[in-house]
Amino acid sequence: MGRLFVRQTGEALFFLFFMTFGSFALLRFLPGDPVLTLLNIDELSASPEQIETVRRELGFHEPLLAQYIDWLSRVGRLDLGESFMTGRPVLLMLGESYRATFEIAGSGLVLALLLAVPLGTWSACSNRHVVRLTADGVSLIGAAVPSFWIGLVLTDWFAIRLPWLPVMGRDGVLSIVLPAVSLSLALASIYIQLLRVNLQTELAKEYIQIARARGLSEQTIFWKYAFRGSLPPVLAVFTLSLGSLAGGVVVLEVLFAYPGVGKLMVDAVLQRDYPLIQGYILLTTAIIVALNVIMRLVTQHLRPDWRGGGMR
Amino acid sequence: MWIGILLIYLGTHSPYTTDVTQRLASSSMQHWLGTDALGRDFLARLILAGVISFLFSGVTVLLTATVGTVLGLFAGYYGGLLKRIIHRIEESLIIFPDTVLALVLAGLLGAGINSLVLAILLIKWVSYARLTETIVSSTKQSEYIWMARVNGLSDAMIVRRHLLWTVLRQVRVLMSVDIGKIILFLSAFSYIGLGVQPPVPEWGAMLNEARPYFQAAPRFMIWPGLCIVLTVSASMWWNRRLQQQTAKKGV
Repeated sequence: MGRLFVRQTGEALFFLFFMTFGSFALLRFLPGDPVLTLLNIDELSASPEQIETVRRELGFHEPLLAQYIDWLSRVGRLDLGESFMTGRPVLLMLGESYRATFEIAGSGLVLALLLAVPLGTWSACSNRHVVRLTADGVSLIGAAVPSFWIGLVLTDWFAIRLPWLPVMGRDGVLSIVLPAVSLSLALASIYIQLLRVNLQTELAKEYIQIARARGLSEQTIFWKYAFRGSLPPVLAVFTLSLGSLAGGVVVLEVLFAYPGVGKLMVDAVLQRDYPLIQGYILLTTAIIVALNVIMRLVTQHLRPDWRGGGMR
Repeated sequence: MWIGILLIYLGTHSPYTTDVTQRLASSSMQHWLGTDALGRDFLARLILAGVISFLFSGVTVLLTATVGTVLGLFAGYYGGLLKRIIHRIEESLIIFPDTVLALVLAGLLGAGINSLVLAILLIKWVSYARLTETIVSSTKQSEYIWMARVNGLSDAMIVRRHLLWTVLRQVRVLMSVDIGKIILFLSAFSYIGLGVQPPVPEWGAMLNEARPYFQAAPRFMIWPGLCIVLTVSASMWWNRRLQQQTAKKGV
């Protein structure tokens, strides 16, 4: 366990280095001068001297490696630079929007699990037609209907025709409801299918038969063996969606004008706000990598024989 | 036949011509589904959006499947160091969610279709490579491949004659569902303005453009959404049929 942890962390750090340096180099070699973009935001025509001054201020005249080391040392002091758009510290902006994203993502995820775990497990072990139909229905809706369209339709019904909920913005608990519900449908669909398929394969395995033969109660067999055994693949996908949510609930945040990371990044991309993009890459990669390390350790604990890295 | 009628309609109605006198017109003989806020024919835009979505999705899926299958063939057939390297790359890529990667690439390369294609390619080839590798490394051991080798067939011949078709049958199943998923992905990114750029129509982008007019004309909300849902469901249905067919035949 300890050695695994050390190895995983080492790999994760290397990966983080690779990602940040890669994106750093890419930004500098690509067409489109960030200095010019910065000056263009002010809508002023800049003289060559001005451009040169800004370039020096931002350190763009130095060689790439020196720039990267400089950036890295500032990251070490928790300084991610200032946003081109607002001039505010990137870390502060990202921190604020992570909180907003967490509100939507967290409540959406909880709703999704509340929907998916009962439906998934129930439809795996019951032969009743109604159960299956409901599970299939929910997962079909979640898979085929884009979450932003669900969001639009829900807004039309519950915020405009029936003025119960706010249309957009971040204003109290009520404003979380619509984005969270739209999100949960999409997420639930994945988990229902996944839980059902994995539970069914697990239940069909030989050791379950043996446990039955030994006279263990159905309940013990189900929860202690089958459910636990079917968790690792579910967990792998769960980690993936956690990571995806950590990167922002992009479309829904834009739709509901909810100031989360996803919305912030879309704005940053459209405005070419490089410090913000760089900071986002660093933080999101760090979160995703950390989540994966945790997932592997938990998986190892649940099923020591299961060593797969992802879905295999 | 329906597709034919729709294409003829597209031929007779330009999706780009703006007509200020006909803004937000409702359905008529001339404009079957009315016009949008700039007086452009709504049905023509819907149809063109569909064509664009299919082209985009089709090209991306083909590209992804080719890359994945080729790498998977190599990894499965030769094994060894090459396989380990490919696995390494797969493992580091698979932890990235597609939306995050697309967002990052859009940030680095600028918004637009190129970043989306690259993001999809980087994420999705892994599943094709893994599928191919599994099939190849299991059939590689089977007797008839062994016989082929004894009879002096070259590696390239063995792969082309015997392995490729088995693989492609399975790859086809994966492709069928991915087409729908990619259309969904494209529409989401176009909705937020990081996909297809105006004035080119796309269902997600159309939903975003028409948002201020939903109350006055719900058709702007209903039709593009319905198009997405129907297309994605069709792709899922097709996938299920292919799955059943393949299962019947056996691998």
